[in-house]
Amino acid sequence: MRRYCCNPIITPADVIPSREDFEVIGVFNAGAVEIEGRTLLLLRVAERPIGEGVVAPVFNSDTGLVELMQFSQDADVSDPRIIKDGGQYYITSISHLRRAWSSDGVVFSVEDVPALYPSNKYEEYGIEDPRITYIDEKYYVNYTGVSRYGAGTMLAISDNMLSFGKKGIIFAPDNRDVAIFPEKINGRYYALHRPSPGMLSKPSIWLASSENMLDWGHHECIMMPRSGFWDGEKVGGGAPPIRTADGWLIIYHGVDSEDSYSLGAALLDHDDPSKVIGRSSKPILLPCEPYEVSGFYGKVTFTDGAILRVDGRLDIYYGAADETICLAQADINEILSIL
Amino acid sequence: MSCFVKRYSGNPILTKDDVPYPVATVHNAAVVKYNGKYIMIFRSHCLNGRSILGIAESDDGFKFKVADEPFMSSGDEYEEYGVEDPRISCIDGEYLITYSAYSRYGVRIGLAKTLDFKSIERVAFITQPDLRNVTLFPEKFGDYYVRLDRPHTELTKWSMWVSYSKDLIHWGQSRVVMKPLVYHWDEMKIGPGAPPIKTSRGWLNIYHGVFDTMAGAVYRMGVALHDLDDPAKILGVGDSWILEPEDQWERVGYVPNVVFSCAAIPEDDGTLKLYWGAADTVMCVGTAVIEELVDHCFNDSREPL
Repeated sequence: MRRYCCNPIITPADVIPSREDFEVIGVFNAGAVEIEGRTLLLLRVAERPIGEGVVAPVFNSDTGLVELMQFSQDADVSDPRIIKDGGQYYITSISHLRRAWSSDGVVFSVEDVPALYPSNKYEEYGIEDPRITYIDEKYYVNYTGVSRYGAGTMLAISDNMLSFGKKGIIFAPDNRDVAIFPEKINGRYYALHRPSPGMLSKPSIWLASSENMLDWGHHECIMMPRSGFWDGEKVGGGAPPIRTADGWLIIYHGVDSEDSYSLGAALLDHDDPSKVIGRSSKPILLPCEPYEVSGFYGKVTFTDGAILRVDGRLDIYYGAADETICLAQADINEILSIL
Repeated sequence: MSCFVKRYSGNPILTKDDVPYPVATVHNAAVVKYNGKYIMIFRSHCLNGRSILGIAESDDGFKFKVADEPFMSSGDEYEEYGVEDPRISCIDGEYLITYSAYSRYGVRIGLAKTLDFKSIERVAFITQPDLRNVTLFPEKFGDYYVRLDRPHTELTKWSMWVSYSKDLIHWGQSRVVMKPLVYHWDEMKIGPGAPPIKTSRGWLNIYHGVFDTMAGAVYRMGVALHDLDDPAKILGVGDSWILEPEDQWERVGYVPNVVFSCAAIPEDDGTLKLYWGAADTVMCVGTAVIEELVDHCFNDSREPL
């Protein structure tokens, strides 16, 4: 992959907070789609209240407002993303989703207000990491809903990416990193997902299928972490799969024993995407630039969206260090050649 | 002793000594009435530590005779570490068995069905990992099958959810219905126990709750009542447990201090037979008055969420 010369392309300074008393601490992990020649990113925007103290912003589904929960100094804040108190987890920021438009795929204009905001109890700690899949003139947006009940995957459907109909949970907690295939395969919808297997296994990429996009079944594990490799501890789906002549190209993230998040590629069979026919032995992108190594959560390159341009160039939009949006580019044939 | 569940004087009703093949335990059994008999599908640890399911039969629900051969053992790669904790629901004449399948991929729920308790057909794995303890409501709600389930999460205490399906294969509309209560007997985690029983006032859900102590976790049973028409709506949850480990074989065994139910059979006289695995080692039974358990859901009820 070649990094774009002027990374990062969107930073928190480019985003107006949704409230005057909040600051934007991260803009990252964006879904991506091309609409009438323009590139649309659906950004994850993480905000927190301005000021001191251990505080978690939480959406109250009864009042419809984000309220600030205060914690004592005894609360565990060893992970900057999380507050642990009394056996319960809270999150130090709350994320919503925001549109950003570009005519050249590089210079983006970020809208002033959220496109999707927490609105129910499964989203009370925020909505995160959107992916966009366009099928039969509809946009399917899946994202993580985080709440006191865990982190599950939610679905919203849109005709135009301007208004959305929320459809609730499609993968119960804990399940993130869902990437929906952009076509039906043998009459069925398919998705990659990443459940939480606990002690017996490591977080792996699973495949499921559906007749209606709402009820999912036929879950099977298709890719596990490879011990000792760059993806030895966790793997998860990234951008929605891309159809190529050789099969479905997936760009996924892998985590190594040093908690470093890199991107790799794999190829799945056209007709039976449970068959993995290629997998990169080395990452195609690993955190090494300063904006990837340090940030809100360092050593992270993480993608939710990639766009294949007409000339065969693959533009991968990725979140760097849970703080900014960056761009990396490659000829898709180069990626396929290593698989 | 429990003021809700009267223990049978002949407990434990089934132990490894009753099984004609080598096993270490007999516990966490599904029970169902079939052709005038009680059929029990029980879990046993084999001597390698992995579990299989055996089958036993009874005329009175107390004295069971174990079949010569196991009923179900590990099948494909998703069951390679064993099959555990079955529940049976009879829906439209088919006996549907939900069981935990353990493997290198985690633990998840398999669905199998039988018409005669001789042949068994595996239908599908119906959940992601990690997820265990699924019970099916014994009736459909409109076009939907409904299950109680218990997904695992790293973010919070494990809670009880419901999910819906039109075909038993694809599931969705998952929503949380009940969660553990802090510093309460079920504070560590809760999960479905016996498949729900229909009563005039609602679906009776006999669930398990766990409390972690300095000496390990203690498993007890409690009751909740779900709305007859809307299983995602809980009408009441009994604040106190209905059964806790008391007998010696409940306090000591493969996993100490466990009473864990996968089955309760309603009888014509308004009682039910509650079956539970004791200390993951033996099977026990007791009787309870259904109306008393329903009353308990309303008297001194605690909030479900």
